[in-house]
Amino acid sequence: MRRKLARQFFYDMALARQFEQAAAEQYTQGNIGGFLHLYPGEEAVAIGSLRAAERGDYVVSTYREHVHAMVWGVSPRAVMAELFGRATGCSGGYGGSMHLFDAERRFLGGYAIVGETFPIAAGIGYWLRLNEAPEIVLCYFGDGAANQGTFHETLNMAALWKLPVLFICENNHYQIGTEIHRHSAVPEIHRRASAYGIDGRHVDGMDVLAVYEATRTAVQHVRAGNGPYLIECETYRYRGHSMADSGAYRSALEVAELRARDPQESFRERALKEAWLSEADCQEIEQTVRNVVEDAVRFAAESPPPTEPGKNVYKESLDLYGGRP
Amino acid sequence: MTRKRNGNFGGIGTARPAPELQVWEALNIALDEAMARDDAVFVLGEDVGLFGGSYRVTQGLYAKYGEWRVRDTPISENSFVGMGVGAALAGGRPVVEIMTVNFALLALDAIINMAAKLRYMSGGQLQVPLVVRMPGGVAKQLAAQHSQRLEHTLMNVPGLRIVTPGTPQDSYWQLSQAIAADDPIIVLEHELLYFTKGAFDAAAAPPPMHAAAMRRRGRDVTLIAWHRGARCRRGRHGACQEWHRSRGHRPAQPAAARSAAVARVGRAHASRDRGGRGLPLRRCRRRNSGEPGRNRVLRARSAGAAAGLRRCADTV
Repeated sequence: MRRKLARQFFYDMALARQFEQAAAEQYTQGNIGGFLHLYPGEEAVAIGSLRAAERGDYVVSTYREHVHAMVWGVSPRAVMAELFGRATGCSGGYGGSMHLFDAERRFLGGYAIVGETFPIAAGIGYWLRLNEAPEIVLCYFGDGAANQGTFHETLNMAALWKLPVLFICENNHYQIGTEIHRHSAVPEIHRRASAYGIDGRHVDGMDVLAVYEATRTAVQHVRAGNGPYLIECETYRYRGHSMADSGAYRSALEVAELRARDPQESFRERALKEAWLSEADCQEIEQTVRNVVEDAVRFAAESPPPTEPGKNVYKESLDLYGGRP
Repeated sequence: MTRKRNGNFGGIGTARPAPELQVWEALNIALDEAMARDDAVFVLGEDVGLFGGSYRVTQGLYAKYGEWRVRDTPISENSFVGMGVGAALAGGRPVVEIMTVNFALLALDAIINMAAKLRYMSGGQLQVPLVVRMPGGVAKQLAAQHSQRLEHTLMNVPGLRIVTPGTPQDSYWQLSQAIAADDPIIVLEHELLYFTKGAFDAAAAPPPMHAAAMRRRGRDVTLIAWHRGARCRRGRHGACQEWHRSRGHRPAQPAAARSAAVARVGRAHASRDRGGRGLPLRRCRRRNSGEPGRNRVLRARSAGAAAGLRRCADTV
């Protein structure tokens, strides 16, 4: 089991790192426009937590969600094509980087208005609870979102009605350029859960196994009908907030210190030491991933853009209603 | 004659409808029938459950369907409307009540950024069959914050549909149609109309959700209005007025009222316009103007000021 899981983790890590690197290159070349928020440094959070959930559960994520989508089963082709704004993208070329959707896999976004993930997740949770369904909702948010009203409003309602929602905080210490001690009176986000009687815990978000184990426990808690749970994963992003941000507000020393705890490297070392993986395994996986990412970029570049810009604003044709807006 | 207020009005065809009902009762019947017909329909909002709704619209439903389908929420407008969006994405058909339109300003992120955009941004994968009901308009001595209309804001948002029922029959028809539809629909009600009476026939076939209704034929001028503005009044200067009740605001203006009536009467007057409601009329005026100077479109609008603290209802 360990070997299989270790292979999976290593594959996910390699894919996350290489995919985002390729996205940055394509952005620089002008093939991707808009805002592009990349994940290097934070990989352990999405991978460790999503691998601890069951297929069939719902996932609601932020605008930094390429890796979440791919770990949840959306193909790298569909994600890269969406970044390019192509019709073959997972949102048909209408969402872009920040709005990835896959209804079939229950990956319900991709939200780029900070704090929207909370009520969306609670609403899905309400519907599941109303139907006594066994699934749960994984709701991702950043440290900055914890200061939105929706965080407090939703935690209150989720606790009040024991909704099956697992709140997962990706605390990367920065809301764009404002460090957490400058935006939060209580920087330990997990402690805020106690205000609503929700169990919350802190976990090292640079350690994929720690995130995995913590999430497994939390998923059991939520699935058993005990109501919501909150995990704060303390992590770090190596790059700026988006491609438009150089991250100049952080010291080189700080970035170097965190890079020394790199989730991918530390997991590789651990896996080799425990003999879950061999050096040859790692190289083979990395080569596979290189091919997958190259294929995704080629697929995106060759795909056509969407052709009907006015489609899907409404379900029915507006003509049925005797007028166009 | 009004019905019993126990909320148990029965399903379609189980009871002969009373000839006259109040608006709140018609809305209540529409909700009750929709909930009985489809388990996916549920209601949430402030005081919709045990209390029965601020204007009685959800009266009796809590006892009949239980707390999970008639959910009293905390005062958290943006989040409980957003929850409605989330539940709709997962397969529910929530009907969210916001106590007044003024509080909907706290929920515009959920309405405009979430509900109206998700079908489009997901490339048509997702749908948001959400109904948001709320009363607005100028009521009695509530001051400027509590005397607003938001048609002008909401009607300019692609992805939303807006209906403005003002009679018991329209309230029943349009709320039933809104719940059955797969798009987010805003049902704007009027605070002073809940307890007004009108003819009601549950068995009558409804017109399309947005079609305007002609209330009175006329010769000299066409008047287009809604809610309290759509009550027919006599012309002061002997003009023979033609009255149309506008029932929907997005898609903008029903073809019937905008071309046929204007072409026939030659002059249209769209009242209560603060948000560009006259524009489609002006476009059609250009198309229809056979006689120069005859096809004039005028807009009556409220003064560029917030509503005052009047004891009697302000009709502008």
